[in-house]
Amino acid sequence: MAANKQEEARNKSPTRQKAQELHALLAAKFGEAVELVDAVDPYTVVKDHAQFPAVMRHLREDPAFQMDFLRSVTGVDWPDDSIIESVYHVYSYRLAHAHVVKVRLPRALPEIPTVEGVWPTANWFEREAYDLLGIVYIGHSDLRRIMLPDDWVGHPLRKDYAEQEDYRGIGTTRASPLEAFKQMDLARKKARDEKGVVVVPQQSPIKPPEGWVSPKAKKGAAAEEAEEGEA
Amino acid sequence: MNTDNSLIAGDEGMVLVSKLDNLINWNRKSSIWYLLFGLACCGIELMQTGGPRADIDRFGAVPRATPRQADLMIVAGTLTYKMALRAKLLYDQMPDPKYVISMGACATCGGLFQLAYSVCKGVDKIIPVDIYVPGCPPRPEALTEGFMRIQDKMMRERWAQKLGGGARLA
Repeated sequence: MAANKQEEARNKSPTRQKAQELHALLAAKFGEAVELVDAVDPYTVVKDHAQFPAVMRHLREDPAFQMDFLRSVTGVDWPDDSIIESVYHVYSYRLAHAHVVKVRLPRALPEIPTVEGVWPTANWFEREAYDLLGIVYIGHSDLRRIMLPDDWVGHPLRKDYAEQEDYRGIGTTRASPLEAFKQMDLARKKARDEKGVVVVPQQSPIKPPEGWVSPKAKKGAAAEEAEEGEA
Repeated sequence: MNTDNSLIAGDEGMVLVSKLDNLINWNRKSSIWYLLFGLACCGIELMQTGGPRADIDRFGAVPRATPRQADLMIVAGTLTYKMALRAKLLYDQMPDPKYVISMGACATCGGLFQLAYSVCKGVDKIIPVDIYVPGCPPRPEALTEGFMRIQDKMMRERWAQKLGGGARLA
């Protein structure tokens, strides 16, 4: 019952209905090339990569879409399925609606045509996805790393990324400071065992003021006095 | 009281007798110019330390925007490998004698981000560090304390003695 109510509420969600509506428009134009994936926010997957540039240009130029703003291009790595997804979030300022388009690429060689010609802002987004996930955008005007140094090895957001031992001679690991203490303890123990010397912990250099008696000593003295009084 | 110095009442005023090194160091420690080099949120605390409340300017410390005029580099914030190469370059451009404060957990060991692939695990991997200031980020008082320890270090140095070979000046 509760699950049904939840589903009902979800189906009523206007963003969800809008996404389904937009996908229906795309499907009417491109048919089998696009597929709806029914998630919390449904999105379109472009199955036919040859049609991909046409789909993106249609999103921007068709009067029913007018997606004039590319919000982001990101990537998702799915090593179990051997797939890397390139994800495009597009938005229309004029019609105030948004849509998500994904393409699924083989993990061994993830290649997809660039959308730089449709939205110039894709230039940096695609460089980022290339930098961190190694997705190759064919036709990109300047496909270099954007955040990591140019001589970096590997694409760090891939799930199987292994950190190098050093970067230009700078080590990439640091020993835990606790290890140093352990070594000190071991050395002390070794010295004690070899020489039979008991190492006394260093005493505090702070001396108590003259005439100061510790509470413990006072208690002892009071007990003695009491005993004397009884006697 | 420093026994190296003695104050004498002369005929026309007080006379201070001291060692050349003490005089040089006294000047040096009172005009430490530090490089403007904020990398992350520690940079905000660095600005606060230079601001009116902590007012590190009372030690004669003023920020310089060029390494050529700086005595002290305060590495304030998370150091990435990409930035580490630049930090090394800036350090090499500073004139001797130069000092480095590693400010905060990130600069000291990578801190919160030490498991990240892009973060350098401590600035001491690339340049020698004089003072480590713990904290995330350290308060201006903590940085001021580190700054005073740099002053102590300066007062212990004997550059004139070293460069003059300890020989008596004629």
